[in-house]
Amino acid sequence: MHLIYNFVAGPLLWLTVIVFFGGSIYRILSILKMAHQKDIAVYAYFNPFYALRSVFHWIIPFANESMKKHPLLTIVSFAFHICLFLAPLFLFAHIILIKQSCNISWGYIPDIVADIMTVMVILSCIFFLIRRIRIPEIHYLSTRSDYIVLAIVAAPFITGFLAYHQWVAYDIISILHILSGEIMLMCIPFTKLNHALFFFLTRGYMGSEFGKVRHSRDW
Amino acid sequence: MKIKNWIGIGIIISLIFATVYGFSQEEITQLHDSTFKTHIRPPAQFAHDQHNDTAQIADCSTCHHVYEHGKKGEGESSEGQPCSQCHFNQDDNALELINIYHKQCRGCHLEKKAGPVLCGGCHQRK
Ligand code: HEC
Ligand code: HEC
Ligand code: HEC
Ligand code: HEC
Repeated sequence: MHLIYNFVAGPLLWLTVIVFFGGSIYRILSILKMAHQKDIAVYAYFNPFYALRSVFHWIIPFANESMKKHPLLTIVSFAFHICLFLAPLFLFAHIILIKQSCNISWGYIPDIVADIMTVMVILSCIFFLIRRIRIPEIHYLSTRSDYIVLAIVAAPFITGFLAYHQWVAYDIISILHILSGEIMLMCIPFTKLNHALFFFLTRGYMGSEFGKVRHSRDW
Repeated sequence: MKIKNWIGIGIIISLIFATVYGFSQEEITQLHDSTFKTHIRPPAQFAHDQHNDTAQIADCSTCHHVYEHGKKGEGESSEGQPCSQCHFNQDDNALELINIYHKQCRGCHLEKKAGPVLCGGCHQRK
């Protein structure tokens, strides 16, 4: 167990940090460069006001037409994304581990809140899965990788939930938890999960394009 | 099923031990530092004497240390003084005290590649 733990919490963790940060920076820089090459006017006509206006309309619940049309999906998506970020970043166990290895720390949320948030993430993933299978037009557009990405996101939360409660095979589940978290982070720059990086760029671009150039709304 | 059986056997054995020892002496079997106003984890499993026997730690000062001018005092020890006495001030964050426990316990386990390193290995839910 020590051998596996030392590997996933040692070299593999470093690899994750390098792939996640290095990959993210690389992807952002290359998309910025590509935008310049494909369309020289992008930067010349870029307008931060319209860009931010669009971002706001897509980051606040029900602030755009698409969300109003799909209230359930909107609620689940917002709950999902909020919990997805807050639970791991402010989980006590993560804070104390970071404190031990880097001697930095920040606030944490009570375990019970993190527990509820974890359940919300897992339930949301199940919702997204059912939606993908049951709604014909989404099912038709789905590829195998969509399901794999969903599983990659759900895995750290399922294993984290099981590990916290110590119900079954505690040691193995904990190792799988660390491993699945690392896999998820490494996948962010290189899969559909890259919308975590590109959301602001694409929204900003669209907002600027629609607002400044076409004088219309994009929400 | 198997796990449950083992838990059952474990509980019975620990009950027997608890009664036998309960009448003879106060034996540390777990740590539940009362300096923490609230406990968010189960107590850390630590059968003091038995642990130090199996882990072959003869020197009490490995854990009950004394520091002088930033250097660990040789041949001196501080057993009987709770860790919190030196490692916790009223205005300290609980994180600091938790951290020195973890540094000492988990740190040695990592170094020796023996003993629990995952939260639940020490903070076992019963
Ligand atoms: C692996 C670390 C470790 C070693 C080695 C160790 N102890 Fe302890 N001991 C502890 C911890 C932790 C406590 C609890 C301290 C607290 O509550 O703040 C403790 C508590 C005690 C207490 C207080 C008991 C009580 O009921 O409050 C005594 C006395 C003690 N140890 C004696 C010893 C002696 C003597 C030795 C050497 C033979 C020794 N210890 C070796 C970790 C250790
Ligand atoms: C008599 C006072 C005293 C007692 C009792 C004491 N310590 Fe310490 N400890 C110190 C001093 C002084 C230092 C060195 C200064 C520092 O780093 O805080 C230290 C350092 C440490 C360190 C290293 C800190 C670091 O940042 O690397 C750990 C870990 C630690 N103690 C754990 C414990 C534990 C666990 C107990 C209880 C079993 C304990 N100490 C009991 C005084 C004490
Ligand atoms: C100086 C090294 C060292 C320190 C300090 C230490 N341990 Fe250990 N611990 C060991 C070793 C080595 C083992 C493995 C013993 C074996 O099974 O061979 C172990 C095993 C354990 C186990 C497994 C069950 C058992 O008793 O064998 C627990 C639980 C444990 N340690 C808890 C603690 C806690 C809690 C502390 C801090 C108060 C602590 N340890 C401090 C070396 C250490
Ligand atoms: C090697 C044993 C060991 C491991 C592994 C360990 N702890 Fe601890 N922990 C202790 C000891 C000893 C104490 C002090 C005694 C107590 O529980 O009050 C403690 C105290 C705490 C406390 C403060 C007391 C409380 O219940 O609020 C928290 C919280 C905590 N640990 C969380 C964790 C988390 C989260 C992890 C995993 C990231 C973890 N611990 C891993 C030994 C361990």
